[in-house]
Amino acid sequence: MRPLRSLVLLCVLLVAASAPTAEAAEPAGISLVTQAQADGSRRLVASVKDAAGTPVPGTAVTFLARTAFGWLKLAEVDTGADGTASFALSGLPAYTEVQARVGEGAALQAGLLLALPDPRGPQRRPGLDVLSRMSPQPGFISPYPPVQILFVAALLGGIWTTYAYLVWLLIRIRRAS
Amino acid sequence: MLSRRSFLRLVAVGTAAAAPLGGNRMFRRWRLGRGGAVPALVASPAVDRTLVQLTDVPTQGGDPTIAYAASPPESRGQGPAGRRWVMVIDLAKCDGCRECTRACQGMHFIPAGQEWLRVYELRDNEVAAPYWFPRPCMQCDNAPCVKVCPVSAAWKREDGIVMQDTSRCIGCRFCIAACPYGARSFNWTQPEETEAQQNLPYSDEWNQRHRKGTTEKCIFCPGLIKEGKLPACVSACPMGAVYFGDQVEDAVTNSQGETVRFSELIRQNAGYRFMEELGTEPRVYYLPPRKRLYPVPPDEPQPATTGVHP
Amino acid sequence: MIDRRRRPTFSLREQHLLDSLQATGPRYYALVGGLVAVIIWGLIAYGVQLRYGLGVTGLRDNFMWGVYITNFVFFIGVSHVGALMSAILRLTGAEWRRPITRMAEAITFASLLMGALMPFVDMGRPDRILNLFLHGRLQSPILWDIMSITTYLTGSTLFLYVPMIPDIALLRDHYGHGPAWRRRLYTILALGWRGTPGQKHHLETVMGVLAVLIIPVAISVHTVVSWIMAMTLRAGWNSTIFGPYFVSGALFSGAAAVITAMAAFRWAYHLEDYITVRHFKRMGYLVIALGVIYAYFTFNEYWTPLYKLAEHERGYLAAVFSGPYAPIFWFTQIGGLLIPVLLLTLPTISWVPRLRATPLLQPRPAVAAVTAALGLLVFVSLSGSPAAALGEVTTARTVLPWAFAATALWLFVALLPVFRERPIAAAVVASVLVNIGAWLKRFVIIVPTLQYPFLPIQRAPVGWAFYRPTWVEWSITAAALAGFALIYILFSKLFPIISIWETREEGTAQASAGGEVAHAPAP
Repeated sequence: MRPLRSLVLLCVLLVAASAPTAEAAEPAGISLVTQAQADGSRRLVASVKDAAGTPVPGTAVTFLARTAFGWLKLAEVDTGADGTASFALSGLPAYTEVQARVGEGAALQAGLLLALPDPRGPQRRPGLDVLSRMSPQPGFISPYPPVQILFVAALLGGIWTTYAYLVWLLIRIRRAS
Repeated sequence: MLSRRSFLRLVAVGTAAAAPLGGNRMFRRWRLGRGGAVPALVASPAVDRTLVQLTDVPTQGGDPTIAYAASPPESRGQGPAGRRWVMVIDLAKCDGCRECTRACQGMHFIPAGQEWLRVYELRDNEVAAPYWFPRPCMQCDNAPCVKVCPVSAAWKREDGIVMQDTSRCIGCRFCIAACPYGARSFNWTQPEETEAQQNLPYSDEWNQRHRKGTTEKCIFCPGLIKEGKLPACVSACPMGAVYFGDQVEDAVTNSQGETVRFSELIRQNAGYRFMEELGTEPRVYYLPPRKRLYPVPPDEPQPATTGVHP
Repeated sequence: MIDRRRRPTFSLREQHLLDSLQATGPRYYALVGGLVAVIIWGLIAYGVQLRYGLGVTGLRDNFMWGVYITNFVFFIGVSHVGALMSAILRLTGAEWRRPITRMAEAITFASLLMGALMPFVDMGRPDRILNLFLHGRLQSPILWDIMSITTYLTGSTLFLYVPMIPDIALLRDHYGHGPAWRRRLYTILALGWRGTPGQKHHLETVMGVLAVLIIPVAISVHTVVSWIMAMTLRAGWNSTIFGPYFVSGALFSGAAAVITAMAAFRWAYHLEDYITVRHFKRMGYLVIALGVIYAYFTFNEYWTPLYKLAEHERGYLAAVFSGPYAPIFWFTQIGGLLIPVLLLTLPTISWVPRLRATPLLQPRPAVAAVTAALGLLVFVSLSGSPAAALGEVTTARTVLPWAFAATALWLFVALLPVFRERPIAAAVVASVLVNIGAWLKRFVIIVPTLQYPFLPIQRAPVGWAFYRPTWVEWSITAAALAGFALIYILFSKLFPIISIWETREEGTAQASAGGEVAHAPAP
């Protein structure tokens, strides 16, 4: 009896030992999430897994952001030991959609909406200071710069008021007849 | 006091006298713009000088008849919010083929003799080599044309584009005098229009209905931008020399689909703006023609005229 | 007809000055008919322009402004004479101005009307003129133009009308047999003038205030007009002194216009007793002084860029000094500035009569030579293709301007003794030359700059690389000049061209200085 049990155990151990070891696994799936950071910015975390679901380290992951006319490459990061690659979204413009991609093709990519896009186009205003820095409206372009208008109005008003006074004097000449 | 008869006579004479001034085209445009069926015909972005029926455009309020083509002059929309359009032209890639010019002329049915995007051949000094220089409208932030327009027909949109309202332009040509880049054209005569073109409603975003006696210019194709497409010249460039994008997103794209970070592109390639010292703050950047991808242009100076009668 | 029954003591002087209102002989009708014909032809030309667009002119994308804007600047410039004569001379107490103030103000009025018409002619869409008021942008120099020109027009009309009130009252009282509308017009315009001390006080107040007010308004008008060009970045226009440059040129050409008007009315209405050689001499001094100031500004305007020879300015400088525009430019400086000033000064030199004896310096052959040279020059300039005119260097084009200059100099010296004896003729010739030079100078300021923009003219269609005005532009220019003359002549038929009451007061002032018997002032 005991020798049979140990023989079965030995066979099991042999089978287990001869099972193929896990090779450098093919990345078969990628997922993308964001992590909030302490300073309020967000961090993109992409995790690459193989067909069995084990994380795949050492894979190059490309992070992209959707811009008006195409995808802008943000960074290319290798996955760490835990099969994740991360990229901090701090100091960048606010993008609505990001993507993590492995390889060139579209087979292995994961997208993430950071904000709900408006079909009419982006409705966010990055802040008046940013916009006015990028596209200043100098005094003679912006509508009705108050100082210049006030100056012209005062000048013209003075002259035409004087005309009115002179016409009034003419009326007095008429009345005096 | 005028008697009733003479008053009526005056009105009749006045109307008859005013008729040659605007013709009946003024009234026809008004009728079209008021409502009812508006044909959504626009210039095809793909094929020169043809008109296509828009079918898949996002509509306003779900009404398919109110397409992009019919933007009434009163609206003067500010364009997509939060954008600041910017263009980068890589002079190292431009080989002077003028496909951009032809695409622009076809896209907008530009009257003969006008080149809203003109490719110059410039040479900075005797030692430097000549180079090709495409010049669109610079959409200046400190635009001289906007400053001097007496009726605000040239006006700066929030997204950076300097728009031209040809339904308001009085044809004084002060903007042409003020533009240091020579980017504006005037319709000296009534441009020839096909029957289909004549039925188009006025649209400032599609540069539709060229009118006699008004000024026009490149406006960065706002109609195409609204559809998510690049302006005509950008997508037509076979060398991918023209990049276009949003400065807020810090990304520009060219016809080859390359999307690059705008600030990096300028910084790495010593990008500059043409005649920066004038202070007009143009929104078109140039990358100097270093390590050209094309042969150096011939040394003879370009003739002033093409020899072609408009 | 002057009704002598109502005013038996009607003075000869007043009768003479009012005679001009009646003098309508065949020459008058011929002149008016000719002017009306020219105006009608100009209207036809404008109709053509309305129908086919501004393309019927020589203007193109590179030359967006040309003859029309030249006319605009020219007429607004001439209109400054009103401020000069009426206001400045009044305030400085120059009594000799009295016979000519009304002429000067009428010039201002007519010239402002024609000048304000020119930008309207230049517009591509005149049917949209209301946009200027509905959607006007106060940041635009064109709106400043509108504001200052309407202000100046209002002020000038007041300044023309108010000093006329006593004379209109005279006409109301004594103009017996004219058509009823004329009498009604005088009655309305006379404002019930009776010459009472209260009314006179108000009149003097109005004229005094206007005299002070109109000077800065007038200066602002041409300054703002100059800013049409100076507020752009173009080489040759991007100058800080355009304001005073244009104002001094305006005063200069306006003063010359008054001399022409003085001579014309003096001859037509036999006003030799009122407009004397003394007036021409004094106006001549004004013209000389203003010419020197204008020359000073012109010199500054060209010398400073010439010294630096900045890249963008070389083009138009070369074109103006030695290129295609050089003959016009040098004519404006020598023929339009130097010669008139010399004509007003040189004949007074004592040894001038001795020139008459010199066999070479006879006027008639000199006249023939100048006419021949000028004719050839004009023919050669206008013939051939315009492109050749800009680039081609032929013997004719290089030699003929010099030939014309030499013969003109010959004629000038030969005519000096003649001008010594006829100072009025000298003044008239000088003033006409000044105004021709003024028009051409405005052209030279506007067009050569457009020939050399920052980016070179490339790939322009044929005919777009140079500017050649067409018959439409010349017709409308002629019509504007004719309109100006017509308004002026009709004015002189409606109101006395010499201020009766003001010259009466001059007589009073002289009498109190000299002891003659004086008329009682007014009514």
